[in-house]
Amino acid sequence: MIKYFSLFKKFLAVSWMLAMEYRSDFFIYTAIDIVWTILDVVFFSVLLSNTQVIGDWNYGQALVALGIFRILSISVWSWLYSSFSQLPRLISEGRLDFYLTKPVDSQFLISVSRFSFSGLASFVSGTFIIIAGLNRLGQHLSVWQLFAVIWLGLVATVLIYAVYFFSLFPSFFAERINNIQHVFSNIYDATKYPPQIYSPFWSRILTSVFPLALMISVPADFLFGRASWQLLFWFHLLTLAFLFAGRYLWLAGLRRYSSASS
Amino acid sequence: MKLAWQSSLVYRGERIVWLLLEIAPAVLMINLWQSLLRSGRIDQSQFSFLSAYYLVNVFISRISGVNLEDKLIDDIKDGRISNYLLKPLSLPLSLFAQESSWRITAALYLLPLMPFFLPLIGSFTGLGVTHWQGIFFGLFILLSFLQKYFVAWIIGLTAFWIDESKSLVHARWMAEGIFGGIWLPLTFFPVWWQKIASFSPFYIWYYFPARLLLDPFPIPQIIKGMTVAIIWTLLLYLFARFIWSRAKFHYSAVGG
Repeated sequence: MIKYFSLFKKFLAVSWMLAMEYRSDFFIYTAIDIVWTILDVVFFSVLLSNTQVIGDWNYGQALVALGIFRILSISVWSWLYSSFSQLPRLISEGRLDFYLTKPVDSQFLISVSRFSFSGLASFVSGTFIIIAGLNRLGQHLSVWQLFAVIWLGLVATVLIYAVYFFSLFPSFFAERINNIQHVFSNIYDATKYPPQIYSPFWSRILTSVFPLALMISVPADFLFGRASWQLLFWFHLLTLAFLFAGRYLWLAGLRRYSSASS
Repeated sequence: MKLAWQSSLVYRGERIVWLLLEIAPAVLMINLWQSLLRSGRIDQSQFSFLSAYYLVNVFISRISGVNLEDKLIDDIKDGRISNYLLKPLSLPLSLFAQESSWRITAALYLLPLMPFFLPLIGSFTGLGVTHWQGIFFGLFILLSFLQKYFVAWIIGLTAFWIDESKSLVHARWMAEGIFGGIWLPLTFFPVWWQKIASFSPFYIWYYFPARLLLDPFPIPQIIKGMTVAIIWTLLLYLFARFIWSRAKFHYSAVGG
């Protein structure tokens, strides 16, 4: 465990050194991240000025959810997309050996190999958006609520990791799908809307089979005092289930994988 | 053309993933509007218009989208465009041919889904589209394809001077969203915003052609839109040519 923690720290350090070596890249992408946040707020403001509600969220609630969405998007864009973007190509070109031949768990290596720090601006902007939303709702957080929502954010991050990792497994079974890593990052955008916008059929799918609708809405609904204990239990259970399913499929995929003479 | 078709058949999985990625946002927005229809915040005709709007935009994106920037930037940075420069063929023309072929095959992948699309669009447009609507729609799509190609080409060529040229692709996506009406029809935005958007090239990339098909503008406005579109196409073409003529002198590569 200590070895893995130490490796994790080293990967972080290397990524930080890379970010600081190419500083202009880092600053430009930080600026882009801020502009995306502004555009998200503009989009929701324009949409809600016409519709007043989305699902059962009003403007203040939509802002809180958007803030959580921005903060959790750090895990998607700054961590997972950076780490996973090479995986389908490594598999289709038979270059995964580089990871498999190391004396460390290959899933761990693939999952933490690269970080980008330009998305960290989303933490600040997301926090501001949540505070603005809560102010609009006239709501104040207790210390207990704050810790609980941080915990739910962490569980949501693990769920995002598990579902993203799970979504990559077709790479092992198709000859070449080098764009499969875009699937999760693209549909992650759907998480910023409440599950109520979907028809009952899709709502069931998106809260169980492919639980996109839970990632943002559970922490947000908890803040609005609407998350039942059953929903919170289901949220934790699904996270564990996807973690194990991803692990199982990874191992099954590795058994199927054949190298290209490295 | 033949090569593009063969490649699109061999790598079916990838092509289907791209198709799904283009359809997913439209399906999401249709679900959103459907929920507002269920709650009585919009009526059936508004819902039909919005559903048709997003579906037409998927179609427009399929037949006129250009995404060559990332590869062009990588090829320039890694010195791989030497292959083109050493042969008696023009890089911009060969990329144009590749993109055109890719668009045709991309549209073919959409065909199996048309039986699902057409009733939704047809239910809004009534009996169908008039000849004039079809002709103008085709012309605007052609102009928007040319503009998208020139913009992608210009963004790609910036790799000769700056390291962060891929960040400009984000700027294009943002402009498409706020001026092109790909996220929301521009009628949702304030009037001053719509006026600014109408003078940008992005206006005819999605919003204008979609409106032309679903809720046509009066003839003077179509002529104004066409004039602005032609001027932008010419300006972008001249600028792309100018940049390429300068860029070639900045290029250096090793090996080969």
